[in-house]
Amino acid sequence: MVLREYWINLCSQALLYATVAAGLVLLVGKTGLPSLGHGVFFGLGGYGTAMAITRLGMNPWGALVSGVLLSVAVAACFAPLAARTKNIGFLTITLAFGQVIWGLATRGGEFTGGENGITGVMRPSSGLGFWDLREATGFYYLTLAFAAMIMLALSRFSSSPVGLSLVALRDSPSRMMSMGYNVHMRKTMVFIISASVAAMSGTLSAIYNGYVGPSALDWRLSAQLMLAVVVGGAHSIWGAFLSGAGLHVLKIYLTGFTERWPMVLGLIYVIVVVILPEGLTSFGSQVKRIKFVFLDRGCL
Amino acid sequence: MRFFVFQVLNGLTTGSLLFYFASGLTVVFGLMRMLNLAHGALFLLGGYVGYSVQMVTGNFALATAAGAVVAGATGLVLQKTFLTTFLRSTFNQVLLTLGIAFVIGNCVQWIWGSAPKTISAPAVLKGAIDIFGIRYPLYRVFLIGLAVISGAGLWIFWERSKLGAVVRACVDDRDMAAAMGISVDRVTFTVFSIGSAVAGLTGVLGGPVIGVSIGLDFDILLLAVVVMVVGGLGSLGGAFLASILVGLIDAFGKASFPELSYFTIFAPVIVILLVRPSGLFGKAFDE
Repeated sequence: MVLREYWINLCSQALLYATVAAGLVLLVGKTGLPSLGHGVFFGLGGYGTAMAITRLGMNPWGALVSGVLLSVAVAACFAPLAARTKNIGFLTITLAFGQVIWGLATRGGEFTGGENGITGVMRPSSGLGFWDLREATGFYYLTLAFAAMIMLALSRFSSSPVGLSLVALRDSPSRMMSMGYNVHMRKTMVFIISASVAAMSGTLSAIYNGYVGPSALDWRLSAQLMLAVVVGGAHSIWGAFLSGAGLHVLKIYLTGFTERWPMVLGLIYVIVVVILPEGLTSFGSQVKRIKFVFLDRGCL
Repeated sequence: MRFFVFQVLNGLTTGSLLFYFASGLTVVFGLMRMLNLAHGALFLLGGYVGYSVQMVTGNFALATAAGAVVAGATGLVLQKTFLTTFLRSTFNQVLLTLGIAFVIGNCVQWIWGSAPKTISAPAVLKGAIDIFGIRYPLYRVFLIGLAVISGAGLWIFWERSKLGAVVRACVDDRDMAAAMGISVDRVTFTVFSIGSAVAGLTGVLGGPVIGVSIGLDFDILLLAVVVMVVGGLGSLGGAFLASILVGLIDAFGKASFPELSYFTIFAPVIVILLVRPSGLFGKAFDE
């Protein structure tokens, strides 16, 4: 029974990370902007909710909404600035922004809980007698419904004309501009959409854990999300969804299993980039390529 | 006044360490257009190797040399193994070097354990001297002096020697340099190895001031990224000035308003990237 609960809880968490990764595909995979600060919007959503509940005594549903609003508002302020840069510039500006927020949270003293974060974040009640969110299965259904809704929205969006134009933004911004598209505005918009998915997952993650801490704002979380996108094949929201969930489960599993888990995680980073730079979806063609190499040398 | 002098000296000490570390990072960036997130791990590795060598031999100079050699050799192997992958897209570079950083950092933790270590300063440099009425550790003054001397030496090499001109040419225009018969790969290879060795050396030199501990690798890496951006990507002179600036901001920020210490370091980076992407001291740089 306890074991079953453990797995259900793990699935809830994995679904939340998977959704963030899928949202990040729009920004990182399709638009080609490498963000090392995306985790910040996940963390900010959590912090917003946690502070609204514990500091302002707001009701949990209202706190969820205000967490999302806080994070999206911050994203909306930062997005137009970040969208002016690209490649390494975008990478460093998102990293620096993430560190600013992380620094404010860890040095914020009483208000943000400093290094210890904020505990005592209450889960809301659904208001429906048969659906108990304080219980593992009940919360799992909430995350499942959330993930399904977001994935539906994301897949509709990426096949829409605006969604398709993102790839063009990456491949040829000058051509897009000469065709009369507002490149900067589209990049800004994608940034905000992607950040709001992270914000929503972050708020749910905070009430799931009953806690939010600086680790939710750590830039290494952003790197892990980026890895999920790359493993998933960069363009595919479902690929990122699956690898985001998989990476989280793997990480939790390894943490319980060995103290050497950062090494294993590091090796996964290296192996993915060296062997499968196009992600798991390219696995078949990579095998073929390796076969050809051996055929050329007369080994097979 | 005492507070001011003290913080200036602290800032210069941090700035010196940052300069050694960031110079390798920024020149490698210039040559390969790659942000090497594993640079901090080499710093950490060098520091721990130096700690062990000092424990065994008791000799600081030997410890420094060992740290540099091990980190340099590791850098060399990394470069040989992953060169083709390094030159691919930004995503791949970031994820690959971060993965390497995790692996090295965790190996270090495995070998030396999680407890922080200290390296003691060489006997000649122990004690303190009076500067403007305050007593300041001699070793730190030595670090500042060394940074000034090596900065001057590097400047002469960079601006006045033929080899320096070759490296600058590769930074400015890789393809054109190659067309002029310069072996860009060999330059990159050499600079990467030297940069790695200097990172390891910094780990040992920093030992008596900041100690050696797990987590320090990413702390210094992030500060060095700031130095790189402020100084101008790939610019050595910029890195020198930016290191001093970041060191001073860090010292005064931490002492005067600790709540905002990260804000004071990283917020200027955002502004500089937007207003002057080439850095405060760098020249225009197209990607």
